[in-house]
Amino acid sequence: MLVLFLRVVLLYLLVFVALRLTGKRQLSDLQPFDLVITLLIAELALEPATNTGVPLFYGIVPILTLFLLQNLVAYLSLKSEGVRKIACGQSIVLISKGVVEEAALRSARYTLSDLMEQLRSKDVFSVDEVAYAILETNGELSVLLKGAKQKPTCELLHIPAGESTLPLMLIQDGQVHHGALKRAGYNETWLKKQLQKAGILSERDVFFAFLTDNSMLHIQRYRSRGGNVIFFDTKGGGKERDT
Amino acid sequence: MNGKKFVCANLIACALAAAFLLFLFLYPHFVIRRLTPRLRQGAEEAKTYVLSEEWEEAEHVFSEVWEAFKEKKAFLKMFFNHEDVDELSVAFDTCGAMISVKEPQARAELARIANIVQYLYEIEAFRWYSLI
Repeated sequence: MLVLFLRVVLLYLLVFVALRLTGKRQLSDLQPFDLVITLLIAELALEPATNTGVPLFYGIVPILTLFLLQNLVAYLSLKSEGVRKIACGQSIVLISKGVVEEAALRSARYTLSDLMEQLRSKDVFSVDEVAYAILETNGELSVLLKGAKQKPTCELLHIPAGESTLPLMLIQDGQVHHGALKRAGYNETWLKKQLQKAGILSERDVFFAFLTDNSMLHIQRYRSRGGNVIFFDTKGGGKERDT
Repeated sequence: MNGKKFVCANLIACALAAAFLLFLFLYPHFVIRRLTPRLRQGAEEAKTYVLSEEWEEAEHVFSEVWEAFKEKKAFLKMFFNHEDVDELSVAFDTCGAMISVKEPQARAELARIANIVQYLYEIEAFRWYSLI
C-alpha cells in the first residue's frame, strides 16, 4: 500500500509538471492542480469499480492520496506566494499599452490566431481597441479596452445608478422561499397581496417568481394555469406579457 | 455550508484520510510480514520431506501451512490482487492432492507456493524498484 501511495505521488507530480509545461492553452477554468485531480480520479476509480479482481483498496488509496495532495497544494498556495506561483503559474501580459508582446505569446504557447479568437469572444474585433490583455492563471483572457473604447458607466454619465442587489427567487415550483422573502424584507402576507394584485389566487399556480433589484416582481404561471408572464412593479402597477 | 464549517469538515476529512492511509500502510504489511516466513518455512520443510519421500511428515507439515493460509485467505483477498491470491489457493489445492497420492512433483508446487508468498510480501514491502 505504501508503494501504491508513493506511485500516486510520483504520478501526480508527473501529470502536474506536464500540464504546467504545456502552457495555459490546455487549461479551462481550472487551476493546474485542480485539473490533475480531475484527470486522475475518474481513471483511478474506474479500475476497481469495473474489475472485481482488483481489491477496492487499490482505488481507495490513490484517491485518498490525491485528496490529501490536493489539500496540501491548496493550503501551501494559500500560505506562500512562491508555491502559488509554482502551482498556479502567473498571469501573463499579452498586450501591453496596445502592443502585442511577442515574447509573452511565445512563453504562453499562444499564437496570434488564439489571441484574436479570445479577443473576439470578449466582443473585441480589433487589437487596436485593446490597451491591456492579460492571460490569467486559469487560461481566461482579461481585456482592458483603450479609454475611448470603454463602455460608459453611470458614474461617467452622471446618471444615478440603482442599488446593486441580487434578484431573489421568492417562489419556485409553487413553493414560497421563506428565506429569500425574509432577505428581501417582506413577509408572506405581502407576497399574497402582490399575487392578488397580479390576479393570482395561490402561490401553487406560480412556476417561479423573483424580485429584481428595482422592485420588479417577475412572475411566470404554470403552463397548465395559463403560462403567462407578469412583470409587476411592487411599488406601482403591473403589466402582463402573454407567452 | 459556511466557510468556517467547510474548513472544519475539510480538516476532519484530511485527518481521517491520513489516518486511514497510515492504517493501510501498516496493517497489511504487518500481517503479511508475519505470515510470509510461516508459509515459506513450512513449504520449504514440506519440500525437504517430499524429496526424502517421508510422505507422512510432508503431509503433516503441509496441512499446517495450508491451515495457516486458509485462516488468512480472506484478509489476503481484501488487500491483494484477487488473481494472485487465487493462484496461491490453486497451488495449495494442487500440492495437497499431489502429496496425498505421494507424487514427487509436489516439490515443484511447494516451490511455487513459496514464490507466490514471497511475491505478495514484496508488493507490500517498500523497495525503490517497486516505484518504477
